[in-house]
Amino acid sequence: MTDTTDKRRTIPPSRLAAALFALALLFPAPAFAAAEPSFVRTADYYLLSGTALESPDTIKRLAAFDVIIIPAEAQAYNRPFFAAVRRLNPRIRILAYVPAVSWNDAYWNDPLHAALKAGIRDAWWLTDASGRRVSLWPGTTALNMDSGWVPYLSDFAAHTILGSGLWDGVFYDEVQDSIDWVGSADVDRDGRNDAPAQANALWTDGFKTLLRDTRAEAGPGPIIVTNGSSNPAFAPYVNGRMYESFPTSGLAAWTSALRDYLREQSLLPAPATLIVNANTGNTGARDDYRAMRFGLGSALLGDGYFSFDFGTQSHAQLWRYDEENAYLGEPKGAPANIASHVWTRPFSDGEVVVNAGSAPQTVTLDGEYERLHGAQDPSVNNGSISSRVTVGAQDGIVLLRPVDQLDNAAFPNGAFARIFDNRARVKRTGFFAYDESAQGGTRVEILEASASPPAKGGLPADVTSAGGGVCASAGGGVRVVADQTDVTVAAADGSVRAHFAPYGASFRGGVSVAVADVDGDGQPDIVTAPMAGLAPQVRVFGLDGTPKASFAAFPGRAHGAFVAAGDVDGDGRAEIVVGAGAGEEPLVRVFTGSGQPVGRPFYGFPAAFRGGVHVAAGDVDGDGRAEIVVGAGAGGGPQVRIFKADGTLEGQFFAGSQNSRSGTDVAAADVDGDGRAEIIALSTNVFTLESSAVSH
Amino acid sequence: MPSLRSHAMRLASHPGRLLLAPFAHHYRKRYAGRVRAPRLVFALDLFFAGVVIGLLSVGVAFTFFRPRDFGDGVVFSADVAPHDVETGASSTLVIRYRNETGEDLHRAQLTLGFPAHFLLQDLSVNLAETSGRNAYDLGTVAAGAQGDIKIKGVMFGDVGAPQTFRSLLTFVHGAHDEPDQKIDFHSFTPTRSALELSLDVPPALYAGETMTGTVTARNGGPVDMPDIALEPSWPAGFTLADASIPLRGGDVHMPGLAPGASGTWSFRGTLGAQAGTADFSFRPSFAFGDQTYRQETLAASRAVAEPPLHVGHTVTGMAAGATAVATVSYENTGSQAVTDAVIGVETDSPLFPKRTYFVSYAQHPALARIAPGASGTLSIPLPAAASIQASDLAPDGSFSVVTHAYAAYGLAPGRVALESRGADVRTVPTTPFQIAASARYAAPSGDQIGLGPLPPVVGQETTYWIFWNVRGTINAVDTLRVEGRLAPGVRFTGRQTVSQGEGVAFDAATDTVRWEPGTAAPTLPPDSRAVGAAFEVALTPTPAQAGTAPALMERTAATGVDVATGDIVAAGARPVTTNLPDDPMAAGFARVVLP
Repeated sequence: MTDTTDKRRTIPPSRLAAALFALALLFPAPAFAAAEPSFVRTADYYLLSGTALESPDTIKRLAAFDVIIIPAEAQAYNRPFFAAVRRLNPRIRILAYVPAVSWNDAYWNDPLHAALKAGIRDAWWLTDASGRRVSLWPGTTALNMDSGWVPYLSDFAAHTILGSGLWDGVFYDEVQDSIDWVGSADVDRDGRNDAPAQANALWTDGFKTLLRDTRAEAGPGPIIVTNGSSNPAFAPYVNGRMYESFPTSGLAAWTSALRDYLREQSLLPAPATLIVNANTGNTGARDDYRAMRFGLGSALLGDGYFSFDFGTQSHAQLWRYDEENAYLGEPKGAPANIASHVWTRPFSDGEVVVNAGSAPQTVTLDGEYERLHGAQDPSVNNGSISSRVTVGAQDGIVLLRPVDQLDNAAFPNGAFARIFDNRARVKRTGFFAYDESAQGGTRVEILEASASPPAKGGLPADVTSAGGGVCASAGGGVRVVADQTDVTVAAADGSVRAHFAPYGASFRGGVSVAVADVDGDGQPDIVTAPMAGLAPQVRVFGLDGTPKASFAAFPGRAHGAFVAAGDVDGDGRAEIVVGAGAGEEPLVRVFTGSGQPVGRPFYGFPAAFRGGVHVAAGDVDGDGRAEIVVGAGAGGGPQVRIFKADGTLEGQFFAGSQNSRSGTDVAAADVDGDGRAEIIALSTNVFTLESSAVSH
Repeated sequence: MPSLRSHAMRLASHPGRLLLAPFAHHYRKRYAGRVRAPRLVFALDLFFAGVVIGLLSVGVAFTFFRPRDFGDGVVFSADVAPHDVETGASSTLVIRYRNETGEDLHRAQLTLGFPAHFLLQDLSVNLAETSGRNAYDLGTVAAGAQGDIKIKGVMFGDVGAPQTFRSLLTFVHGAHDEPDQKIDFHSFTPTRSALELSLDVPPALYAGETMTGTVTARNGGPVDMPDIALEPSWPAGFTLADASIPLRGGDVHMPGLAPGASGTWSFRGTLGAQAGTADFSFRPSFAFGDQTYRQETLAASRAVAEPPLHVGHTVTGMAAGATAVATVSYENTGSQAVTDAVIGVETDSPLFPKRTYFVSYAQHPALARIAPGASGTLSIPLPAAASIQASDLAPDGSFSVVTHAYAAYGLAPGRVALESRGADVRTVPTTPFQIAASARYAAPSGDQIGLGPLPPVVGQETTYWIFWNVRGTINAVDTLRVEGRLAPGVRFTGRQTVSQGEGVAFDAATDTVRWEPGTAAPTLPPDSRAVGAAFEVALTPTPAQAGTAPALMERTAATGVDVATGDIVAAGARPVTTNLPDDPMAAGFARVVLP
């Protein structure tokens, strides 16, 4: 008898779900490509291809934008560009620039346009009554939107351009609902110049058909953005439009444009792709920061992307502004017209204020806000904190909510924290890192779930990154406190979950501590090292104090060490970083959670230095791997260095006066929620530098 | 097998065979059948063995049976008087010669050689005429004849080292006037010197005493002595202060002495602090330019007693900026009265501006004469410096002061002053203790920490951070407490930070902020941790405060207990106002303005 039982094993649903989840973790880009970027959203209108898109510097700078519009012929000339820029920014949206009307014989000598040209019929050109071809733009010839050009172009855009798989969408330029402004035009090709209303109606219908057909043939996925018209008839078929040359002067023009922008946003299905393109008015004054701020602030009153370039005569700039790198989080409401010509809009991590009037306006905010630490216009972006701000005429300002808490990184309780980016620039105003539930001078780490979406290339927000390692959240507000002897784990309500002495009750040299999932079980682990007076034996414990691992970081040494934890090799599990204690050579070593060495030791500072090496680990450059940040111990200046896991020095700077000899402690954590770790220099020097009143 | 008898008979009948038998036996046993060409090898071995034996024989012969030189027949002998040769004094040397060659020696000439720097006083050679410098013609010295040379002079060489004279007789002999010679050397070792040294020092010496001594050198010989180099060796701990003739290269150079004359050399120095025995030693040399000859060493030992005046001390109240009090006790344990005493305390500590603090007999009549067995105490103020610098700390960050009692006095009229020193006393001073209070609107890095308008505006709130910093401490301070009262109208916001211990506490009833962080480690060492607290206060100026720089906090007071000394320490700080001239943001924005 033949056994016909289906012997195929079924996969349990839970296991399938886990596999899918794991797949999503491993390949986040496809899974989360649809997630919208946080604010400030930026776009670049960059109409160069060929060698211009081969430069690594250009690719790197274009990758900093959320949306870029580049010539369609880039798919013929620059196929490697697409993968390169997406590697740097997996979330970027690349739109193919397709003029809908004008044909440029002078520039379009590429295979793509040759193929497009090959199918154009003579009858498709826009002519006047006498049959002369019409030009909308110097050096170009116009095609007729009431001709076979429309289905031809929509088909070409959907299949040849979007079908290449390289693009996220198409950008149709010259989209207008009127053509009468050219003067004489025979749109219906009856041999007579059309009346304006007739011509405009035909033109509008033509564009509507183009957009409808493009959408129908391309499907709902690709982004279709138009440039030139907010006609509601187009709204059902597009994702957004660009407002080229958004007004940055003139109240009436601005008000009208803003109204149009906000209305368009309400008409389009979410998420919309609206681009506010301001420019220098063809003057090239890239340092006209007022104009830039006004345009940026205007864009932030909606959910659009901001672009600032030369002007209509040139869209080939890679200009980047301080405000564009600010992290505002997500909008918390609609824009509000709070005073005459003054608009504000709140975000989760800041606020924008726009003054469209002709005189400066002082605005009282709903709390304390911090100005950016800007290098371009420090007269405005001076990092100060205030509840009132004066905005200049036809100007705007981006404000941030001050940061005053250091989570997911160990810090000396009571120290003053200075915040830097990976280029040694002051990023945020410093604050006192102090937790009242612990004693001053102890080392504290507060475990909190990350509430912000990740930076470009980062991990999803629902996965906690404690100390750089990937682990499930341990519950908000859990505190790990290490003093001279003991480690205490307390819940947010103060209840003690664990209390233990990693090096014995008689040890008084201080315990260095870091918290991260170093063994891959999804739960945070506590990593300790004696800071002085003992051999640098690193120990790993669970949050409940259960011993897990123990190893000698520097065999034969006797002066303690400092620890940090972070995923330095991008394998999804945190490694343990150990810096030598004072009195030893300033070596740094990396280990797995079980104590296996990773890579080779390297010197954090010149070999003769004996002050010890404070360590931290965090992804400070957004490449998905934690960098190792070191700070000089006592006896050295407040020098901070950034290394790759292999010991390659990436950068260094002094976090304070070079005359100081008290060194600096360091941490790496995302204090502003932008998904990228900041470099934090911690010092108690602030207590000793007073200005007056000494005892007598 | 042939019998022994028959074998012996055969050998006896051929004596030659008897002689060769051992060789034949040796050949048969060692060569035949054992080596190639055995006879040739055997012959060669015999030859080489014979050469070796011959050379050995010649060597033995020459060793024990040396051929006799003709000149060996001339015999010299010498003698000296006195037998104990004394450098610097006359000695008479007699050198005799005798011709035992068996032949007459013709044209004989005797030449003499003397040690370096030998002073020849008289010389006579029997039956000779002088023919040159130290050369005497003896004419013919018949076989068996003898003669003598008397040499009188003064040796100046090293005592204990040989002085060597040389005699050379040249002559011709034989039918052919064959020239020959005989040379001989005659050595005599001086055992003493005519240079007499004596040392004159006080009969009783005391440890630490500044004493004088005199070395006298006398020429006990009959001739002028050359320059004298005197090398002194001092007792352990002795420090030479000065001398009548300065030392040069470790030596004193005294001029030469005429017969019977004396020369002196005086010195002054301080004996070491330990009682016991002072061993002096002076090594003289005759100096002829760079050439010196050692003479008899003068060694003298003297007992060194403890200084009669014993001193000791204690110190209380030692602290920076304060005047400590040294209580010095003294006692005359000797048998003589101590006079003109100056008693005090010495220290090298940077805490004290001067090295010595003392009371003299002019200030304290009892010190003019302290009888044997008498004792007393003195209180001496030690004003300390106002502060201790970080550079004054020991490498381990600690700080202590070492003092010792000191006394200078005379023992008898005209006697060189004595000094006494007491045991070292190490004192940990009470720590300096300062509390600094200040306000900030911006951190020194420029980061804004205050909020609100600058300058302060009537009716609007401006916040500042007040900083407390304990500084300048060299000892740990326990039960540290810092307290300050907020100025009227100033509000404690609750935001704070501390470098150690618990946070600050605010008493709303008294508007007082208090911080009790427990024990604070020393803060003066360069690598010490800061001990401080900071808290935020808010000022909302009233119209009455317009134009003024209002106070934020009244006077701050800090107290604690010095862990090392147990003393209570206290400090205060002036009130803190909005006038912050060193603040990066608030400087120049102290005065309240109207809205």
